[in-house]
Amino acid sequence: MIKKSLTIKELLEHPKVRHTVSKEDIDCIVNKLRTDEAQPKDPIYIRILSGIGAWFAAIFIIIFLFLSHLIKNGTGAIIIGLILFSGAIIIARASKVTFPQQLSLALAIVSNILLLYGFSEINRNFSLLTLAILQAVICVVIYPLFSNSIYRYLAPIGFVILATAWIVKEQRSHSIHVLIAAEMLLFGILILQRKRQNFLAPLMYSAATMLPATLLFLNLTQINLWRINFQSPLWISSIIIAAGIIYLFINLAGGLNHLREPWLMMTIFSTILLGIFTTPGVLVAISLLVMGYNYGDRILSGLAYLFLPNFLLLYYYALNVDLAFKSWVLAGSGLLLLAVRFIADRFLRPRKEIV
Amino acid sequence: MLAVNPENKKANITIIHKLYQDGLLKDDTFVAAKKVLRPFSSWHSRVNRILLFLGSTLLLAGIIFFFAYNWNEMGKFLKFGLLESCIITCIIASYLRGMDQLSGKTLLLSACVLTGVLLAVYGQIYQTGADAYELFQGWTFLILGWVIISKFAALWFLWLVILNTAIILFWQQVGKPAYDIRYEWLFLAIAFIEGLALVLREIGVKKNREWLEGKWLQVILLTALLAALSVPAINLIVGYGRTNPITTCAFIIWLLVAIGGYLCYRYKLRDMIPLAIIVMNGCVILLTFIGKILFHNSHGDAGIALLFAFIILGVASGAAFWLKNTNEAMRIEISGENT
Repeated sequence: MIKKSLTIKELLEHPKVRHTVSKEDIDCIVNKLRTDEAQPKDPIYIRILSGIGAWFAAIFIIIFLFLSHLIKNGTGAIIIGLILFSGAIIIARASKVTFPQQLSLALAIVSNILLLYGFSEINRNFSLLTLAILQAVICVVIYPLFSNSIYRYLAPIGFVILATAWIVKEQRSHSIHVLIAAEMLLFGILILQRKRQNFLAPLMYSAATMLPATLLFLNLTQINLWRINFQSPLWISSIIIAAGIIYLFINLAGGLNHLREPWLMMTIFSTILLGIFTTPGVLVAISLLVMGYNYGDRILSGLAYLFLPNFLLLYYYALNVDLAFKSWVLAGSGLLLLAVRFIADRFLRPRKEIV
Repeated sequence: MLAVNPENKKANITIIHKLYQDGLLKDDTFVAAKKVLRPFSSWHSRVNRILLFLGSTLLLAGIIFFFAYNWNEMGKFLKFGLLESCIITCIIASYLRGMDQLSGKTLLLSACVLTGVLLAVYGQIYQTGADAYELFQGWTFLILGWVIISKFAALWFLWLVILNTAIILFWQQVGKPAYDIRYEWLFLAIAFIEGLALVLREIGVKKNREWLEGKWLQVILLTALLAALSVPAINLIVGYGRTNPITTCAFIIWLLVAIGGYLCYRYKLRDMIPLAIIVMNGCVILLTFIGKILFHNSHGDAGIALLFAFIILGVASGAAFWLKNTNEAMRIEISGENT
């Protein structure tokens, strides 16, 4: 293969591409690229810095509200929460300067926490499930109104944390599979959307984070420090995730009409095998790595690299599965993947091509 | 401002997806462009790497879990025989594949991991009462030769993790109880190792050693270096008056490393990500210092909490503003040099 990196101009003039674009299309693309360059998006490290800063500021604002006795009961918390949410939305829309943006994020986090606290104070019989539903409602209402991508990323995660806490507290172990299925579905729908609106991107990353986080949490409940008797077998989640991954792979391959391609058949067959005997964590790592590569998304790939060692560590200490069984599952999955690699390398090698 | 003609920007899959999502590429253009940027050969090569990475990681984890189970039915010679034959097979296969192949490097890494498992099984069978740090110390020395010839960043990283673990365990099991070595020395030792590795990595990249170019190694080493130095620095601020001269010394070293690192990555290496890590670390130390002053004798004053919240926002916003400007300035400097 002759490898050469193309510029956008070269790509648009490539023999395989040029017949699909007109002069007007190219002008529009160049204009768009010029506009994007003039207004660059904040790099990831600035978003991390903003998120952490706002999170800590929110903690101290809450401490202030309680120490100053501004919040005396649940109703007070709800009223102040709603006022602060309105303030956050107004500030975020009024100014794009860094400090007001950070302030609005901190206020949104504070008001979200105050609303949850307020409702749980008004009715002490509130279960964690009701709080999770309340968080979902807050998320649905605020998401379109408040354009901060960090809040849009964090709020759905808040819902999953509450839902998982409810599952663990009430010992509704089968519900974890419903949650995993919902996360897989959300991630699949959002990532496969060909013309996804920009405002849905944080929700997609949220789903991508929640899926491995739920599995880590599930393992965390099985270690010696915090043992919860989970009755439900893990293979249900494995099958759900495997089915989701197969759907993703078929979609990436271009649809069901490619089903006869030997490499796709092999991919589907090996995913089914993995779904039958491996642990869900391995399947999640595979899906994140493949999706990360397909979309050139380093965040998704980074999530997979971050998740896998943590998952293996917690899986080692999880007491719900016998260590010997775990060793067979992992070694078997590893051998299967290496065998797939060997077959792909030997029999499905691409023909030489000029790029 | 020097602007690069957008048409001459390097095309990549992220830009193509973005243009498509913004409605600037038609369906057929998008599919055709994707096929040019990501031909079957590119997919084949990446999937190959993913399968090798995941397959070998899971297989090695499976082997570790297997021996951790401590099978009573298996004789000691069978255990040793199995592990030693696995190590020898990995080494021979690695030699046959060659160190320029990723599979060869991965096989060598597997041999290094299995050496540790062999030492652990040895400790399991002959329970001599030796401290755990000795296992890691022995492991570090035994695999050093393979690590040096590997030219593989992941293996160097593994070696550093083992070395750090050996040092931490030594301090826990011998240094602190037997010699009363202060914790600052532990963090200084870790910082020294991480710092040295980082400097060698940067020199290697300057000398076009491609295998060192992965950003992940730089990020992990710099974060570990600053985190190790930050512990005594924060302790000096929080527990002022109850500290030792070595704590002050560690704080000065943190200051020198942070300033030196900033200057180096800003003006010499021109790299934004390490610069952001240094600035974030600086924010943590600065906020700890301000927090200590504000909350010292505050006795639950609500106003102080609100003031501190605004200070946090101010410091974070200031840092973000500074980083944005530096990023822009650096982009202009680099494009100016290239034209």
